[in-house]
Amino acid sequence: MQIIKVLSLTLILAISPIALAGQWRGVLSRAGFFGRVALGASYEFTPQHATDFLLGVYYMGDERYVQSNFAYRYSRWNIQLDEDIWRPLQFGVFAVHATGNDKYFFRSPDVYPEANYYDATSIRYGVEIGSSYTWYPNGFGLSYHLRIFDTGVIALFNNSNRDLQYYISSGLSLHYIF
Amino acid sequence: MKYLILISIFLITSSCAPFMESPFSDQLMRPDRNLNESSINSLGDPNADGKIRIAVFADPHQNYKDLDQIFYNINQTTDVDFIVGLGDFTNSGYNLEYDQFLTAYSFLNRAKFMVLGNHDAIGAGVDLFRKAFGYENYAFDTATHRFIFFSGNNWESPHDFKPAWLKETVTSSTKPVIIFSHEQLLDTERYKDDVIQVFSSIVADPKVQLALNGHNHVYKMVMEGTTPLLQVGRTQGSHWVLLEIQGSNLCINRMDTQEQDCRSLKSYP
Repeated sequence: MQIIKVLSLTLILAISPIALAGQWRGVLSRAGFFGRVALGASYEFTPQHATDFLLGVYYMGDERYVQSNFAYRYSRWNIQLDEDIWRPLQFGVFAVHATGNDKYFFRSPDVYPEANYYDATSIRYGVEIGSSYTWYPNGFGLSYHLRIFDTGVIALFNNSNRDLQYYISSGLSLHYIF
Repeated sequence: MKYLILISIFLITSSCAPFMESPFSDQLMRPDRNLNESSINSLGDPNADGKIRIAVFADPHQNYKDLDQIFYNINQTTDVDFIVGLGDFTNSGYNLEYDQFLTAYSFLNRAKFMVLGNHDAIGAGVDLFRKAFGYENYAFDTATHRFIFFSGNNWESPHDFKPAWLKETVTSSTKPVIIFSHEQLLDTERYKDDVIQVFSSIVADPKVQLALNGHNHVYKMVMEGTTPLLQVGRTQGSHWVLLEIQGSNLCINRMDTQEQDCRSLKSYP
């Protein structure tokens, strides 16, 4: 259900008049909580605002599963270096969703006494910062993102800024302007 | 200058983050494996000086700072023979939570045995626990006791919930038995009918000297017949418990309040 909502939102954004004025990128991503590898598209409404939707792959034992990833990103600075564009510091929010894996749930399954016996495990939210560089005129770009989950933010807050290294992940992505 | 500041901010914030693939996978970043078995192999005879001292903590999920402090205190306490964690090291059984706990765990300087908690058993949690610590139901014998570690997660991991294994492991012992589990064995909200009957018979078994659990986050000591059931509270502040067993005498030391509760255990044989 969740993935349908995310896909619908992406579609609405894609066909809206604002969207038609923007720029599409194909994205291949590695790690950053988005899966071992993830493939999808990014849409830039303006140079400052962009949304990503990617499908990522993760493994449980030998079995392969898919997760859907959504991100909104704000780029305050767009710096022109000759023909290229460098976005030195980007800020964003993201969500990841475990798709088609009944080990994860949004509401606790019937076996538990209450639907909220556990917090939702199939979806996680978070914030990110990053940096991106796009080469022109060929249209290839490279991005680095640093992401932290909601649970990580809460844990940091509750633990007086103790170093929580595993709640934070680096991610790299390669993109290409269509 | 502006670019230099931006680059500096970026490099500082990104310098120590690993490349985590997915929170949903059963991949651990930490290399630690089969930790419970390693502890069994390194234990020696905890009763060599006539007294067994066991440090017990429970339910540290999300309280990493308190966990660090408690682990420091345990390391500073002399003569602890081994350490038991009564489960719920994670909130949602995610790999990143296991990795975070394993980092803290690696600083403990004694043999240590971990029990699977209900929060550790959701998602990929059981697979991650097995990867790091080994099987969720296990036992070992010392010269004087049999120590049993039991996964009571009937809802979260029904395939691995084995009351018959617990019964058999108690019955086959020729020594007094101490049981560690995350949920209390007589939790009537969780266990019904045949299961509660099996657990009641285990608690009443003359060999079972003591059963410990976590799960409910508050310290509680109750007697079920002649068997003490000790519930260790959540890892918060400086709450952990030091058990001292000498012959058939048990002293429970609450390390947060410095209270001591001493009582006699069932004698066996």
